[in-house]
Amino acid sequence: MVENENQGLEEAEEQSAPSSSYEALAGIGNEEFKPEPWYLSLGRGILNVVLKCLIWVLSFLIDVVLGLCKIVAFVFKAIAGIFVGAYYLVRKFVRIWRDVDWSYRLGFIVQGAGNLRAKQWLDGFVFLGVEIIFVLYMALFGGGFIADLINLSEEPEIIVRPGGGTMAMPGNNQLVLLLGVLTIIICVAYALLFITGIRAMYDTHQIVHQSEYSKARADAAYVIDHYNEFSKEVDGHRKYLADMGRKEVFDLMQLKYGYSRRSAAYISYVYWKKVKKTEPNALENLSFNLRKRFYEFYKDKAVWMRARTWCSPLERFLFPKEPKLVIKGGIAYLAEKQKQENTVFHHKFDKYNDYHSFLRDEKTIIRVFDQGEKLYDALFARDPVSQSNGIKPLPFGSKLRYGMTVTRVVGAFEIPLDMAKKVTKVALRSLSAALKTGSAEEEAREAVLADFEKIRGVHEARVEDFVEKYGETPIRQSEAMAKAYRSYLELRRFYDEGDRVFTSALVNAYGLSPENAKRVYRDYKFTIAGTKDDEMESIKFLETRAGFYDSYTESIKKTPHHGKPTGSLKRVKEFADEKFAISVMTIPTLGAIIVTILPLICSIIVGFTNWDADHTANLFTWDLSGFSQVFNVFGSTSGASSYGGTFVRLLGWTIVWAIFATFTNYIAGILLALLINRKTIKGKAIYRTMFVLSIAIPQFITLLAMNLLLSSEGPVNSFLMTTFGFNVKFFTDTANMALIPKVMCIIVNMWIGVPYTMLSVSGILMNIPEDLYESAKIDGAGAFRQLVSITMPYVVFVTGPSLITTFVGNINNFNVIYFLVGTRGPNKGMAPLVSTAADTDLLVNWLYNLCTGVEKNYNIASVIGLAIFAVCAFLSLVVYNRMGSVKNEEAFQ
Amino acid sequence: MKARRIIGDIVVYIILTILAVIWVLPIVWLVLQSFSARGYGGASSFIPTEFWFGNYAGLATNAVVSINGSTASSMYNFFGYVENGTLYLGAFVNTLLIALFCMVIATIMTLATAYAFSRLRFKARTGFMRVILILGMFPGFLSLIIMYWFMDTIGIRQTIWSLIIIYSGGAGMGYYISKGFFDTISKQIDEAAMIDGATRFQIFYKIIMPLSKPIVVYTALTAFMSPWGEYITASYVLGSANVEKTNWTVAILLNNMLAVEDGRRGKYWGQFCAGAVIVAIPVAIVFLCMQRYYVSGVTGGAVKG
Repeated sequence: MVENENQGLEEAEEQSAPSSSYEALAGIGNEEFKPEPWYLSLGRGILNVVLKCLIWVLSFLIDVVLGLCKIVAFVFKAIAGIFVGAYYLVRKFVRIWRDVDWSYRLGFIVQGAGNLRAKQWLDGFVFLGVEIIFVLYMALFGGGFIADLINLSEEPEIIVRPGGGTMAMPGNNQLVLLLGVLTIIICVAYALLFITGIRAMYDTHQIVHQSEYSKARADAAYVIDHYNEFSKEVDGHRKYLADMGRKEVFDLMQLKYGYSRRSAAYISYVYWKKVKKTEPNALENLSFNLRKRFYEFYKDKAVWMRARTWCSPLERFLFPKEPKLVIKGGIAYLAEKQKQENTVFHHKFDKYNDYHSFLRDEKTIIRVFDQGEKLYDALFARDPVSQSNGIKPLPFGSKLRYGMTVTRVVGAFEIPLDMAKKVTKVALRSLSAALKTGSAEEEAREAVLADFEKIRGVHEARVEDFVEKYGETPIRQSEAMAKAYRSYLELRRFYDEGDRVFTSALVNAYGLSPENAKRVYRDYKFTIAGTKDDEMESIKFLETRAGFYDSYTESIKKTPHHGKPTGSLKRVKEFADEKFAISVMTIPTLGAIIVTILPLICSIIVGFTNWDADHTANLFTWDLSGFSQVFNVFGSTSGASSYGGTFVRLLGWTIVWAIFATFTNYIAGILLALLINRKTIKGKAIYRTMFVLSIAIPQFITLLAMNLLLSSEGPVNSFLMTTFGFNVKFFTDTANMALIPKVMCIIVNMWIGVPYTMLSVSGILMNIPEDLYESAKIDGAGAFRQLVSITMPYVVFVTGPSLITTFVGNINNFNVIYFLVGTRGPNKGMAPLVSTAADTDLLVNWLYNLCTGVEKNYNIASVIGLAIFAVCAFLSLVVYNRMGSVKNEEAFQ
Repeated sequence: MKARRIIGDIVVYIILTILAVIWVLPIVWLVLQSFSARGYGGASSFIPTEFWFGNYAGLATNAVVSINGSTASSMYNFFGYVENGTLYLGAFVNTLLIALFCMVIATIMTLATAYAFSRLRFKARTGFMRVILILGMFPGFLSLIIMYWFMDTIGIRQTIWSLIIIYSGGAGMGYYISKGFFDTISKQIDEAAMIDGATRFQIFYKIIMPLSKPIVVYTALTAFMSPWGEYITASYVLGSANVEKTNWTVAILLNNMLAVEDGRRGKYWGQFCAGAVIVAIPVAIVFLCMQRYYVSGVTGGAVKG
């Protein structure tokens, strides 16, 4: 079987290589197996690694270039996206504004008004409260904060002294900055909440008026389905409905076809949004032949294409002469989509209302209490499920434990836990009431069962009420509407008597609600006016309308509409379930905003000011000097100290440091782990503990100890002095751009970094499946071969992605340099470096010196911080996107 | 073959032993020096010439004690003291409080974030993850300056509360390893529980948490250790000259012991070493005991990258 399947493959292999794997396998028994000589495997291993590294570096470089392109594209897209997004948002809000009535429209100004109107007390008061707080905040403080931020003042503030006279008080610009940014963040948050609020209001509105929305969608689907009929009926000089504007479609639908306002609006919206797009642009100038060839080629695919892409630009290009065809194909697709949308609509609002869940729960309760005897048995563990589980039946009068009883009810009726709890509580209450009378078991049982019967009756009545209110009424109304439209001859005389008589007749004789009666009157009015009192014509039009209500009745029966938004308690409970993400993420997000995003924005802003020694915290203003000083690299490297020159020099050292610090730790850590985890080594735990000791102790202690150990007065130097007669300035040597201190920093960093890698690699080594080695041994692989082919790939695969985090961590590794070299490193302030930088300083250390020293060049520090940030963010984004585990996250779980 | 293995073993033993000695030597030196009677100038020998317990005693009484028994005025407040019936907390107690608070807050936040990213599917989830990845690249020190103003504005500058907020505020952003661990737990467990009617909260609390002991321990451990030995933030927020030393943490206190005084460095050298040993012992013990969890936490979480 397998041979058959692989035959083709093997044939191909045989052609290319004479000894296929199959033959090699067969030959094992005959020939003596010679393991590969070690130098060959070593050479191949090295070659392999080098090649892989090269490929990785190459692809990484390509990724970098791609990433740069992507960033440019992203920036453009983001800018365009903001505008387009805002446009869509406004358009949507305009639509919502049109859809809802005035009380909901109030929600655009007073958040939560719409929710309160729909008796959504919780949402309403929350939105309202937030709005009040926000408005108060903005009126009292926020507006001022933002105004201050825009006009960062260089002028001192003049304050009138209490005793008389004035005093120049420096304005507190750093406070202005902080509060301004905080206010901006609050405004953005409020804007998001505003959008959420409007959406919540609209959702509520749609639930309450679900019948109308549902109908509007069904109507739209109907019109699209019967597009051709509709377009034929439109005025003669207009060929297609699509030629009309939205307003015209709206009027047409409402006046001529008698659709409700919402339906007409929705249909015209669909046309405006979708059908209009299909109208082909006249591309008359294109070569006819070319078009024809394309058309022949794509003829078969045309239907598919239309359905698939809903009139792509290509299609518009290919079929400029075939508007009918395109529209026809598109209409079919659109109608299908419209029907789907209707279903989605129902599904969406099923989640947000109590109709189904209420009915389901009530029906469960009724079912349970309907089988009163079974429930009674379950309470006393006399039911079959309990018997089969080996639970002893409880005698009458024994104390029933609530938890156990609930479990038995779940088992007996196979209902969810929360339902069982509800049922059990009620059942136990009636049981204890029966027990209180002190009667014998039979009597008590009778009483309890009677009580169960009563409970069932109560619930049945509730269900009936509920269905009557939210389920049956719309169906009856819809049927009555259809009937009213069909009774033209009967109603015509009431029409002449005026709207009051007409509507009251409808209300009394047909059982319509006053609103629906008004609607019918309006339709009569339009129809009679539109047909100029031509009786046959009027009946025809009204019949169409009645037809819609027939189909509407059908659709309600299929998907009952609900009209009752979820209650407050349930909405709170959702935060433990569907909305658990919100409850879980809120506090971490707030924390991140305060601790990271707020400072980030403030720092970016500081980069655009002139906050330095000359312009103190109180007297800085908007300026770009920071950027120009740091990035004016080429203009001022000649001899004199400049920020640009310093930046380039320290950036070079930072990158060298990050590469060395990362890879020395990584490689040494893996080697150490391999040594420790050698199978024959004993006392692994002791060795590991000794190594781990250097990371178990806080870093500032170990690093300070190292600093002192290697300092000029320390024991190492005095030992060198007494024994060899010289000493080494480990951390203060200035020669060769402070080469010795730099190397020492990397070495000491190994001391505190290698154990981390060792620990995690040890864990990974233990996880490598043993049978991999077994099979390798059978294949004759030596220890080295096993290391190269099994261990290393596994370890590198698992730990590789963490390298980027380590790399970025090392770029920002402040501690090592700070504690080993201190803030006064070698060559501090020497010629090409500015006074705040030393040769051993990483960019972050320089940043620290800039901020804490005398100069306090916050603007330059911010610019440098942003530069570091940009480099790190770019690198990690590139690598992050390369990680397979990110790409197929779902597949991993 | 066997001879080769034995030779290999011996070589590995020798290498490991040499490395281990190198690794432990500075720490041994530090411990030995904590019994040194002399200042740093006398530390040129590896083993102190005289052994003396006065450094530890001095820490307990907040006094600089010299070898001839004379006691200087109260200098450094390590464990706290009582003055006029008021208890002043020392640096050690402060640090312990900060670390414990951070441990609780940060662990909850990290695990919650990791759980949300691993198990819950919500809008903008990947967007959140990317934003967090990028935000993590921002040099912490710049944020620190602005956090300092912020703490100033809300009036808790130079208290341990400001440190607790700064340390644990962004804890949710370090969710990676925990998320990796949660990813390894089969999703079918969730689904089964959901069918039984458990809410997401119940799944998190009653099912995932008991299964994730290593990662809880690991998270708590790192959340405790990082504020315990942190210097830069603490010194920037609490360490300015005008603040009372009652709010200091051990890192500031010990670093200040090495400051230049009377023209020379390390007047309190012995006391620095003693303090360092006392600070290091609890975390070292915790870390060594919890090593197992640390390894399984890191590797369990790292498998997914």
